[in-house]
Amino acid sequence: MKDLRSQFEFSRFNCARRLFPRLFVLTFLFLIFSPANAKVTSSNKIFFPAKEGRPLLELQKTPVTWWNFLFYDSSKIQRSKVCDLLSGLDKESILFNPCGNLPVNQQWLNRWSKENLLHSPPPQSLRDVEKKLNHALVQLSLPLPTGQLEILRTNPLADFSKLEAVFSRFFETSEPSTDKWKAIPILFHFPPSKVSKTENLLKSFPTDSSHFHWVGPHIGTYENQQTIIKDVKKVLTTGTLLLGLLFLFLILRGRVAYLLLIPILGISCLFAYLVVHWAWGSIHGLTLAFGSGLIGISMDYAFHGWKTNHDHFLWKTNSIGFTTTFGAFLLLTFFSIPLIRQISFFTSTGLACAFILSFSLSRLMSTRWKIAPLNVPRFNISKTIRLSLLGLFLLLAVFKIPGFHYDFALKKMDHSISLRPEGVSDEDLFNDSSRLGFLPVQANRQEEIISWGRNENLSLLGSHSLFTTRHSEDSLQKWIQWSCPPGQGIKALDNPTFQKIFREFYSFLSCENLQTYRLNDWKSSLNLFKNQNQELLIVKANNKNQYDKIKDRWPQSFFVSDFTKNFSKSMEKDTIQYLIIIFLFVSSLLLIVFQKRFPLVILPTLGAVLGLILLVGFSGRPATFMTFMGLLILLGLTLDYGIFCTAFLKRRKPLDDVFGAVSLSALTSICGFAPLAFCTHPVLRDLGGSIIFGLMGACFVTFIAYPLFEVSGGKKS
Amino acid sequence: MQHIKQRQSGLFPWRIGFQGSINLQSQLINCRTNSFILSSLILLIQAFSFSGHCEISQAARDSLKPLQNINRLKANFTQTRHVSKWQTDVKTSGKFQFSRMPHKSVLWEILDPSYMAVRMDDNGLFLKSGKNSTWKSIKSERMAEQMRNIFSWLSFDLAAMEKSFHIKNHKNNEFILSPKQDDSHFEHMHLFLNPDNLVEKIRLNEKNGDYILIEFSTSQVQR
Repeated sequence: MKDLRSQFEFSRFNCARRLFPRLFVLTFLFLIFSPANAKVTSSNKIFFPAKEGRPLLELQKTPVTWWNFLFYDSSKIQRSKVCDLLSGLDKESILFNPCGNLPVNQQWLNRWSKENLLHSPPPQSLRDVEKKLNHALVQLSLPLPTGQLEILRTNPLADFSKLEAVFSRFFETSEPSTDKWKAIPILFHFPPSKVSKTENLLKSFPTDSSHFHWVGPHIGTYENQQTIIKDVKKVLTTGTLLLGLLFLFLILRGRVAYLLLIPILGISCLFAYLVVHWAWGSIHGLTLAFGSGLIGISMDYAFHGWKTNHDHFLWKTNSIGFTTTFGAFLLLTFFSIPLIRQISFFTSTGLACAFILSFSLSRLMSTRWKIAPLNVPRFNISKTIRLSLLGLFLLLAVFKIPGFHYDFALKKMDHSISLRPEGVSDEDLFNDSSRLGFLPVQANRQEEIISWGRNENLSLLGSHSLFTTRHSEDSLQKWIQWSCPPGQGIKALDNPTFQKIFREFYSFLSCENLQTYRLNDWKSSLNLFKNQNQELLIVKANNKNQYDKIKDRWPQSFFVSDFTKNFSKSMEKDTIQYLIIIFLFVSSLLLIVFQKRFPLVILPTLGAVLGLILLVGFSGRPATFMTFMGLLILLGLTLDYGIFCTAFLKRRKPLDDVFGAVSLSALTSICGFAPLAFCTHPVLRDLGGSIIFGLMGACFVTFIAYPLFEVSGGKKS
Repeated sequence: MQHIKQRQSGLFPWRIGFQGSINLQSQLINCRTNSFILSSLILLIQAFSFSGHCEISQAARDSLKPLQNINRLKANFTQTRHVSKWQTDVKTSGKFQFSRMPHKSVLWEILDPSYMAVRMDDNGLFLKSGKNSTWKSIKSERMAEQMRNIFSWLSFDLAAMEKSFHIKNHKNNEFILSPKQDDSHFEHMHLFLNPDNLVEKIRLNEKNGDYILIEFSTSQVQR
């Protein structure tokens, strides 16, 4: 016996000695030939369907949407004190801070004051210029701060005196506040995607104080990202530890062969990564994170198929299980959200690779490696108790069905909202009754729009010029033509006072400077709205009636509230539609293979659904988009359990072997996904919670229900 | 809430576009500038119109008492702003009018080198940027607050005055006003009275080293 054992040990060692170096060489070769320009992105483009998401993505690049609100508890702290604290913020990162003496970023202002000259045609006559310079002199004689003097000095042609108090109006109309919480709007000088800049900015402000709370796109992006990073770190540490313990347990139980699954999964992920990279040009970080976990489903086939004797029957059932899972993920590659498409494509590719590798190694396993089935304790309970337990589980779930509700609202996936104290909200700009809209209009139609707006009592909050490069360059050429002829242009205005005070203005409009002047690069942003000489107006519809009128007159106008509503509806429609399609596909396939035993196959999946119903019913929180994504993953996992068990029952084989495989599969899934259920971010928490509760339901049904049929099948010896 | 219809003239008067520029910001900047211009004018008017109420000696207070009986006042002024950074002076001139009857009103008109005027009365605050332009109403909570202050000054409300400034009688005919709030644009204001106890000149010292000197002449007083 001892000799036999030592022979077995030696054989195992010998096999590992040969196999591992080969797999490592293969992995190394993959790494060598992987594209040098491999790109892992974190862009938020991938979250939105092209049709619905494009306007929002375009708007995110528009600085007029970069407003954030600093809420302060007015019962505890005065505005002047808040302003003092705000003065400590990095000035270069702030474009507009109403607290400051000069509220606008000076560097930006200097460039703006110069460049905006070039986007209007040159003046008709020098007399006009002289008049405006005199007017600027009047303003310069007033006690203005140095920064504002500089604007007037560099661009005295801008007619400041005609302007109304839009500044006050903007804050009076859009500054959200309650009795306790007042807000100071602050315009950041960079897009929300520059999270590190937001972090630096916030570091210089006491955000931990209970008297303050930031709200806005930058803060939301930052808070969500920070929470996800913290959660992912937690999940990685706990998940790796749990999986390590699981593999240690397997080694101790003499199933060292399962360690081969690690390089198999590694190679499959690498292969999927290369294919996705080839097909998409880049790969999203979330695809790598979630997709790699999903490829882990392929471990089911190894747990089930790697046995001492290579059994075609096992691999036949594995093939059915693989086809259903692979097919479901393949169908999801047509989902409207690009991220889901990419994850599904990545997963199906990786699953296929892992399945082929596991199958190829199976024969080798059977000859070189002795893998005994993992015995799991069988609950030797009577049929009545089993039926009672199942009935109780079913009753509990049926009882909770009325409490099952779902909500696909985007805010359910935004962690930053849950961090806000009561009364702190910027929703009055984005809700149904008071909507913020963006109207792209031709600049030459402004008169019409203004008069229409007057009649309709519209609130106009601002505008953003969408000048094309061509328009700007044409304008610059006109200024060159105005300035360059000898004795013409600004130099013809030979006034010593003007020349002294407006020295920078004279020098900017000199022929030499204009000829070499390079305008700001107009990036290809705002493609959706971009047209020759357009304005993007920002309006606020104060009621449903105003909103209807705007939409009626300008159907191309874009309202943020519309986007969130349409996006949620589109997600809901797509999710339900794909669940039905996948269910039909899987059902048809299983009906063909298992015929009248089909209800048996879907037992674990029903258990998973009941588990989800219980989760939603007891937690009181609605099922979200991520809960349904969890259900799709559960389909892939639990159908395998049903297929394995039913195939064994069909063959009148004892279920001990298959229960071992199911237990291992469920354990690995729980080790991988359970830490997600304890995350703070709702996206991860909902996904983890649904998988864990679904798996528990599926395992409960598998271990309690199938033995009933085993006995009635008559094979149990 | 303000609406488009409250815009009295011009299409997007703040419209200053450049590639990638932010017109909303430009509006805000401009309007902030605009607001500041108004504030500056108000400040000047405040400085001028306060003359008779301050935390000063009884003798000086007595000497200022006749000012409280002024019903109408007209004066020409010359304003010189010294910008220390550019080492240069910017000069303007215009007219100032104060009237208590039939209702309180103040008019500050700059005539040269270009026209600009601000008017305050019981109906609010108005701005005119050119001789042929129309008066534009400025409706803003902050402005309204300043208005309330100004009217308290105009009605010789010493208590309200002393809330904002420390007032010192430097010499017989010179008073120094120091803002109580640190965030004030000014460091000191010097007020000089002529032998008839009328304001002769005001010097506003800014924190950045600039100063504005306003000299009044040919005052017409109606009591």
